[in-house]
Amino acid sequence: MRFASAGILTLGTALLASAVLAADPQPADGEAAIARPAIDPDIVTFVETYCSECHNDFVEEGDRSFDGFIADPDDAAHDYLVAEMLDQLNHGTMPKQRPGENVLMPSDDERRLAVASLTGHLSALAALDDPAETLLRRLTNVEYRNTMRDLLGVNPVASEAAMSLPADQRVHGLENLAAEQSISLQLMSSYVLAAQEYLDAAFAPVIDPLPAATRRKFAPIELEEGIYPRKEKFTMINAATWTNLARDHSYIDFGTGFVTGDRPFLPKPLMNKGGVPADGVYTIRVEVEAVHRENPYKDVPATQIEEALKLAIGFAPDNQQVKVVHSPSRTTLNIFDVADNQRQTFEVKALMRKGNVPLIYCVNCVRGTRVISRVIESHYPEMLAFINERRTFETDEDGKRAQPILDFLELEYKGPRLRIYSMQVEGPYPEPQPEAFTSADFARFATAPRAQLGDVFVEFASRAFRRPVSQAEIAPFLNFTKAELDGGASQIDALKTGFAAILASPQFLFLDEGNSETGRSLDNYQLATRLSYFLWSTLPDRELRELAAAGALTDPKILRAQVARMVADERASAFITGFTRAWLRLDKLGSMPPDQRVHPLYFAARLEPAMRQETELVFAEVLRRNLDPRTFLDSDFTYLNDGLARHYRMDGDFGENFSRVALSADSPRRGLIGHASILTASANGIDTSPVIRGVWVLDNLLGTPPPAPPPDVPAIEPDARGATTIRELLEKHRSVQACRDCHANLDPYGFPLEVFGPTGELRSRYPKEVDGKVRLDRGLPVESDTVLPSGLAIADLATFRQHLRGRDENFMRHLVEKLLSYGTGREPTIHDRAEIEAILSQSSQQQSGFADVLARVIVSDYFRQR
Amino acid sequence: MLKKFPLLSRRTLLRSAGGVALALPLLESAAWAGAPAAPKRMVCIGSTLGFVPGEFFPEQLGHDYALPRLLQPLAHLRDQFTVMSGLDHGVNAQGGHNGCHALLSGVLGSNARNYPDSNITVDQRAAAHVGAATRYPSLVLSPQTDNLMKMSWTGAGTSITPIESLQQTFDLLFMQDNPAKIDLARRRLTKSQSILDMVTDQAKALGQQVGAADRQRVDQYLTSVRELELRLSQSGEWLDVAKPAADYALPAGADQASYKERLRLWYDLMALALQTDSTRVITLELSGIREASSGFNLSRGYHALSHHGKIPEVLEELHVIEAFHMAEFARFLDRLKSVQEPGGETLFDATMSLIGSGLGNAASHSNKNLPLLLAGGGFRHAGHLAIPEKRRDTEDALATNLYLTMLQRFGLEIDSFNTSAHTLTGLELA
Repeated sequence: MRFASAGILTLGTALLASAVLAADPQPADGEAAIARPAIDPDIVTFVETYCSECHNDFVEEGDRSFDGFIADPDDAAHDYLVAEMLDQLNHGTMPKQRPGENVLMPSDDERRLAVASLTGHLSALAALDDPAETLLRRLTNVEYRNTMRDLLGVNPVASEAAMSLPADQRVHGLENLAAEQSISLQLMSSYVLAAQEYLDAAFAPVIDPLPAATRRKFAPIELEEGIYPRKEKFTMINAATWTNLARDHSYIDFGTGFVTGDRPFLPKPLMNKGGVPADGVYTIRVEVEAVHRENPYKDVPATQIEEALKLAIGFAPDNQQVKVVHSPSRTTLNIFDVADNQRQTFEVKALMRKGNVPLIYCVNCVRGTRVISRVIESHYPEMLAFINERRTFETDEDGKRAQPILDFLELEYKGPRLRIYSMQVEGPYPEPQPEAFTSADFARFATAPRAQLGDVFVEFASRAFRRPVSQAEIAPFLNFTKAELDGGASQIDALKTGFAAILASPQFLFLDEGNSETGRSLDNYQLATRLSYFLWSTLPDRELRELAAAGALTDPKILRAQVARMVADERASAFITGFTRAWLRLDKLGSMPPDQRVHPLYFAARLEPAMRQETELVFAEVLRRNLDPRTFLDSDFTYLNDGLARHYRMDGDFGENFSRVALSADSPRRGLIGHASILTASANGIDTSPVIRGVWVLDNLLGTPPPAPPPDVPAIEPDARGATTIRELLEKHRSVQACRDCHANLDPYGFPLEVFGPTGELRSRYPKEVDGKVRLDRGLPVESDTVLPSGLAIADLATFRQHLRGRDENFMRHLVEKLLSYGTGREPTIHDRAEIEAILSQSSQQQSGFADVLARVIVSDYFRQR
Repeated sequence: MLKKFPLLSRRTLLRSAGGVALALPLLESAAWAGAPAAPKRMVCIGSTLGFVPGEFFPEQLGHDYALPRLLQPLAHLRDQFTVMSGLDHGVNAQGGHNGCHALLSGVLGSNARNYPDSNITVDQRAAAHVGAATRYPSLVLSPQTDNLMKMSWTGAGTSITPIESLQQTFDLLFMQDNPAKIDLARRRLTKSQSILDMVTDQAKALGQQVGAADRQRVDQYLTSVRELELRLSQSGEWLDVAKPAADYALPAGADQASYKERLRLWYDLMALALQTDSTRVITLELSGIREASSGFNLSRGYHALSHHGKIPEVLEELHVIEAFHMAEFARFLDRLKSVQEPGGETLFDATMSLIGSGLGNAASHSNKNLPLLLAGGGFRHAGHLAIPEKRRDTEDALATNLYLTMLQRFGLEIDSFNTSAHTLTGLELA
């Protein structure tokens, strides 16, 4: 269906669109069209009384006129008005009382009656058409890579094509809405290539068995930078801050380090050998202590390290990517707080590919060389003379002449450093994917006698298609493979192509959720699949498969037990990450990072991932401990690490790992609206807008999205000088009648959040431009009080939070709708209202925790039917 | 006949790795055949944060306008480009930064399904027209891609991930693959074709089991399969054709250089790609100015600068970046001008070079009145072509009208492109 102007679509809500579609009369061939339900005459009276004074052919406020509707209320052309009316009444936004005008308002009873009547009418209209059904849904990129991992036991990065799939389109935060998905040449091309690349990786151990695991220990002298190898050339000052090898070679000190992982250290012999020998799991161990964190140079800025010194362990993709200062292709696996003056061994287990080079670096050591110059200037003037005399030493001979400095560094200099005693790399071990086919399975396939190849294909395709597959169905793959074998191909090559065709088939790429002929209810395998992709973003595991085979999963009791098991399982982290992105739009976090000079902590303390983790940990706790879902609106706890605690200006004993923190009754961080993740994602890194944050609250917490802005509204240009506050600018904007109507509904939901800056930092004043620099908290005072459209005065953040708590009905409805959409790839239509109401009323009667609500969503007909 | 071209020698260009003169079959045969017109090229360049309107748009109309500050690097070309004002995507591509990805299509990704060709961008429409005539139907490039940018979209509604590495681009264009690699590619190709045969049958079987709505989706799958089959056979034809040799080397560590340095290298490669007819359609995102590695000496980040609040010092710093973008564009155009095509015209004349932004004014996140400038391409350029105030917000002001004009010039026989109403009035062929 093509709209004359696509802009029309943005004028209303999803409900409107569905009602329009539903009303589109499409009588099937030979069948008489079912009569359209007639609109209640009381509604026409209601419209004449309360609406048409402002919305008629002459006044036409908001581009809406009801004259045509009043003349012929049952004309299908007016259905969109009916849907809009219901939205406006539900949201309580119309009719609107205006100061100085005496607008006639309906009584609460009249409003409720109208809502009931309109809801019924729209339901009847929707029922004219076929009920909404799930469309064929394609695996999202995340699901695709997870599925390959859990099917073939491969490392997802083993396929370049799979790692660079064209991005999924997000609509309403969701990537899995079937109606919005597409398949293109680019995508198809990636699928065909990725299937081959993954199968190459899966069969690789059959052709080249994994080499025996070794444990290789590297001495301090073997740890070097890739880009500036030791001795080749070093600048004295650099060397001093950077690194110092003990005279007896018993340790190496790192004096400098970057949060960006620039200039990491790595085991030189391993780099020269071209990295680790094979794909597999490796353990990296580092023996380390922190020294001189308490140092005598407190008078010199930046030598103080407030938090523990931190060691990062990671790897580079190959030995070229260690020869550059900075490379975004390097991976940091984990970061550890290193104890002061106490040797410890830290260890990381990681999947690596052949050629990867393990590396380490200090995350928060002193940056740059200027600091140490200053230390030397103020504390060791005699050294300064020596250094100034000759700054660089480029040969071994020079190195000897530099001995006094090296001695000085080892014996006298007391700046904070990481002291590394050894680094160990152990592996490779097979990849631990308990659910996937193993290399033994692939070896079995590769050597299966010709007569059994049919069984091999049945076994492989059944797992890949997530349901039992017949011999007939795999015949084309089998015949191809046999023909290849007859033509002289090796069995591995022939199988790879046959398997790749299975993995590029629509039966693999699309989820089988039945079709209109198989009936409404999903069968056991379809249900197992939907459930598994909902909570784990991957294909069903053995237990789900077995329950499906036994026909047990459609039993609600068993289904509930499975939900409990799956939520408790580690793999539910896919749901926690995926759903918070979709629901809270955390996918937007990081798309507009703040300015480095204005918000240095954002980068130095790696706040972006920390913010995300706070929200995910709170979400996980509400889920796994089955807490009241309203905890999302107001909670007495959160999770923080050292960086985020600093950002929040909260005292306590924090480290790299997150810990649970109790929040006082007056804490601004209670509830999701106090999370820096959301406050950053709803700003643009530079300034904040109550409009955007207001829309965020309405859209994502209350589920009452405002209509899109009318075309051609002049945008508001914030005043960077700080002479005018955003409130004053918005008031100017709202002085225009046309703008006021909408903004009176939006801005009040954003103003209380103005106490948070663009990275969610608390503030009492706006920034101001001083001497060519942006200074935080120097500008006009922040005012966060406001009046909601209902007339309720909001004094501050706490009252706002209280108000949101009172809107728990809106909140719960939206949360349930989002869970259903995320779980099925289909957004609710008016047809689903009864089902959603049932979930909500049961949940509220039984004061259900979040996990119970989730279970109720999963046992609902909405979820169990196509 | 050849004008000076500092980094390239025409002779080495024509010498393939094996010393056989077959590197430029199309160009050469064109020259020998008594020179039909050179093939049309299209280059689209988009800036994430655009240009300060007052410094980009001239005040006067037509040819006799006073050069605004940002157009000064193009002064010597002023009768060979058209700077347009008043064009935008109307109500269809609003959304501030989130509207930018519609720059070349006029259609937001979220609205794509309401259009028969989704939100296909002008470059990809042109690329589809080129087909297998060149080794690469198009190149989509970015110094460092920005998630909000996504300049290039296909007719199936998916964005094309840009290539971010200079070295990778250079290798794609000029690196001769060794026989083993070509052999591997050929085997992958044959296998892929077998895979596509099998999945076609699978899709047909599935199509018979599902209802009408789902059948459409299966059909879309089958269409992609057929398109891929065609693409594979086309790229198969290129496997045995040696890549052209370029008398050009990227400096060591090119991909680690600053944004300023890299942008120049990107333009070098673009000119070479066009000159060697490796592709006829190139899209470049001007994005990825990171503070640490920009090469500019700035008091704050690019995005922060774009929120200039009309503070003169901040505007001045912002101007440094914007002026750099225009100066490098001018340098690129000069380079195209220095290349003589076999048919007698210059590469500049054969190439429509468009620079613009999806933001009309980054400071207010406006998607109205987009800065757009089209150079070369064989048009009778109109100086400053402005949509009159009273025609703005009408279908005459749709930027897609310009794209329709460009596509027709490119050789497509079409009379509409996405939201377009007609070709752009006032921009005629030379």
